[in-house]
Amino acid sequence: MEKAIEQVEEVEQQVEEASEELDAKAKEAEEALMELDSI
Amino acid sequence: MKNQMIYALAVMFLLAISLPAEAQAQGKSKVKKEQVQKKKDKLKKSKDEVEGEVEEVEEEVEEMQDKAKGKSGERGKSSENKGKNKDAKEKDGDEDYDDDDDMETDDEEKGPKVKKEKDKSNKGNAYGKNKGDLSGKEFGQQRAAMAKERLKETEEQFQEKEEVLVRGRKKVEEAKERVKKQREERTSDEEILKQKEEKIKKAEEKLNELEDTIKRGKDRIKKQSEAMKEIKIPQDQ
Repeated sequence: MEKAIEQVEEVEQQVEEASEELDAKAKEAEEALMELDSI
Repeated sequence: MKNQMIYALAVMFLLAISLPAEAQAQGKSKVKKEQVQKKKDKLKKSKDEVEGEVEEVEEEVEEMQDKAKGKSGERGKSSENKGKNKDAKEKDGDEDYDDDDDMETDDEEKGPKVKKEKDKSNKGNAYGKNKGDLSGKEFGQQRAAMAKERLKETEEQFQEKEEVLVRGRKKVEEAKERVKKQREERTSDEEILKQKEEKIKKAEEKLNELEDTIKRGKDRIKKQSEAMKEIKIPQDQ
């Protein structure tokens, strides 16, 4: 059971990292797109 | 006889002279004694006052110590409750806010020192340690359910960002068209047009990075989703 919980935690960590990276990149892209409004 | 009379008069005279002086001296010493006594009384009074104040302060300190002991006892209880709350939270994620509010209130009551200690103790998650009243199997099932839910949320998050990507690409194309038109119609200086093109280029780069992140992230999520299916958690019969 402990091993299973460790595996679940590993999955959660991977998901969390992917989510954070996505958020950061999306934020950068949205900021750059905002600059196009003045064109 | 005459001598005796003279002697008696002399004695009386001497007595008459010496008595007022003595009385005066006695009077003076009496006044002085009174003054000393007054000073003593005053000192005693202030000593009593100081002792009284010291006793009051000591009582206050004792009360505060008692309160602190009582609170630490309550804190012990509340941390137990928090453990239970955590379990409840794991059962129902909607209770997050209530739990946080409680924590804030506790922090206000306990003060910064206690908060610091608590922050220290909160480093890292307590998954797998703070099971509360749950059995190992129940806890495992709950954790797995939470992980699946998080996976689902993240997949939705990726879909949303794909939409951002599509809208961004469209916006870039529209901006390019506008700049092209401005160049043809010579409505803007070449310097300004180049600055605008730089902005478009930067936006394109950021969109490319986002696209790349989405691709890699989706692969990662897919793998984790498969890994979740492989994890063996005993299920209820």
